[in-house]
Amino acid sequence: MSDFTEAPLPVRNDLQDSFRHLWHRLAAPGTWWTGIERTAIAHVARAAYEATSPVAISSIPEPASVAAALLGKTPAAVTEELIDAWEQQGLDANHYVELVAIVAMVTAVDTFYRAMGLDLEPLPSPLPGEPSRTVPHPPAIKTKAWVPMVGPPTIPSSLSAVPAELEALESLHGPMYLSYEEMGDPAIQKGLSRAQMELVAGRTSAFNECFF
Amino acid sequence: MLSWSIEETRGRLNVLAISQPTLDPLIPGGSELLAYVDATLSGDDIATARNAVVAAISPEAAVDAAAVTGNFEMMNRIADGVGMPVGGGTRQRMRQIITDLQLDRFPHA
Repeated sequence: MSDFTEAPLPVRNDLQDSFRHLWHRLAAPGTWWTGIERTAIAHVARAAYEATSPVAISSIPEPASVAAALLGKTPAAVTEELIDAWEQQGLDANHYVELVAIVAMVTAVDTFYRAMGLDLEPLPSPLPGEPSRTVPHPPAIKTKAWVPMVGPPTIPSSLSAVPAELEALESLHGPMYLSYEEMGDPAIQKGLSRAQMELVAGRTSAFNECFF
Repeated sequence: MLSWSIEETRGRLNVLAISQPTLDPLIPGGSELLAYVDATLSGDDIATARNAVVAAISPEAAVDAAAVTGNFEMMNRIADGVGMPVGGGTRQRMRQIITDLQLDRFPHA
């Protein structure tokens, strides 16, 4: 992965480390997808975001390709009905939650690179191996959200049906924004004040029409 | 995740600027930060917008703004992808701001 020597501004070491960790995870077998499938999902989502021609990927099922493209480009267009339809076509909730995580995290890194004026990081070469198929205990249950979660539906439990992805999310959003502990401090100051951070966060969400 | 950010910042900035970036957010470097987000997400003259944040706040601020933008591109996809519900209490507290920002036009509102 890039050492960021081409970056126009110095990039914090904790950010670089979190990106490298993510890229390594992306290439490796996950909980429900192989490394080949995980990088294929990332490829489809990135192509959709970049508005290039739809890519034909034979290594993932058709509903996974459609879901990755939609989440990559226009996440607000995802509906519960679509998720149910994808499930009927074979994309079960566990595979879908891991797919959401892959698309979301790769988009985070890609957006940082775009903002910094860097060429996008090439996607990693997949690593061999089988998915772990680890399920959470207690089990994830579908309640008010559209996918199963462990406990009440909150952002910290959003990916809890696939615990490894929830852990990966936490390791990324601490360096990129705030850890859950830091989020409790309204006076926290990094390169930006808390109000400045939330202005950036709010504008990004408005741009994506993300109401939550 | 707009409702969440507004709950976090209410009283500390002009939240109307979040959906109407021609308004002054009333915090240091606010207008430059809004322009940087828009440039990043639209791909339109990102370098100029980034340099404006460096000049208005600091180089560290521009890096953090890039990271926070990326983080919320991620969180938006997770919240929308899993269908995260907005609690009734949040919706009630935000009734006026939902009207002011016309948030009901959003697909998941």
